[in-house]
Amino acid sequence: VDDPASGAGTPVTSKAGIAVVRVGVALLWIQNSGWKYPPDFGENNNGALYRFTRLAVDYEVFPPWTWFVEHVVLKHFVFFGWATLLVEASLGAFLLIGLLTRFWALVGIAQSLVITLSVLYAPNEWHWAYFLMLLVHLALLATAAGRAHGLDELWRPVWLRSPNRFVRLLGRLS
Amino acid sequence: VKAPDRAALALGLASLVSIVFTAADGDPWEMATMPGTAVVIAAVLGVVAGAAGLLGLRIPAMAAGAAFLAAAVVVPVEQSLGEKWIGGTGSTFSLWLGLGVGLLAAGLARRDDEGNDHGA
Repeated sequence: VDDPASGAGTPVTSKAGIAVVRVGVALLWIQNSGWKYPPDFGENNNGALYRFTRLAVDYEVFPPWTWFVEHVVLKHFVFFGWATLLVEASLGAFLLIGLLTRFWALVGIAQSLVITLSVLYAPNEWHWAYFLMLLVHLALLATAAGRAHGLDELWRPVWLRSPNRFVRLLGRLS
Repeated sequence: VKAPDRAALALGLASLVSIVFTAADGDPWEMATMPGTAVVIAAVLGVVAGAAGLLGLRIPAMAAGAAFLAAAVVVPVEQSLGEKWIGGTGSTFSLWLGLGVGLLAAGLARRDDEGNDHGA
């Protein structure tokens, strides 16, 4: 289906529903960007992002990931703190406006996987929260949610008409 | 109202709606940190973006977008320096990044007499 957003069910209500889900997921990332505090991201007081990242070591989910967190992420934590803030803030920003939505849905799946592998076995965590995060980004990808009242609706036709391969790729990511 | 102008109007309204978060106190309802200075920025730029959308003016829409991007960048910079010029957090940064990019994308979209709305 060329336009999944309009192809599912009743177009008007389906598009509105898809847009609500997209904006809701954007708010998830926007709100959770708020506790990634630069410049040390909690490294100096074992708080905030640093404390949550350490859970991947303290409560191992997947040994290779634990090794990577312990020997690479925690040793260069400020870099990974900034990377986390930029990725999650961008997820909130781009899903909110529905621009390049399929690309950002893929990023959301990857980031949800990273979070799942870090905290799934930590105490007092609800495993379905992380499974749902993965699934909702899959839904945004499958429905190309930016084409439902998002800016992808405006720009995708232009990108797809372009003679430039890179620009046409943007269309596929929208 | 053409689609790019509707987008600018919607983003302006979104900025105005975000002001309500100043009344929220933490989880679960404070989606973005909006201290006093941030409220002023959101109100002024929201009105400019909304008016630009209503009147079909692309330059003010893009100017509001650029201003949102500039304000967004200030937030992590001030956090890194231990300053509180705006007093926002990563959530303010994320929200304004979206509004800024969105308004620029809406402003850059071409409007023509045939009613076809598409990019520049």
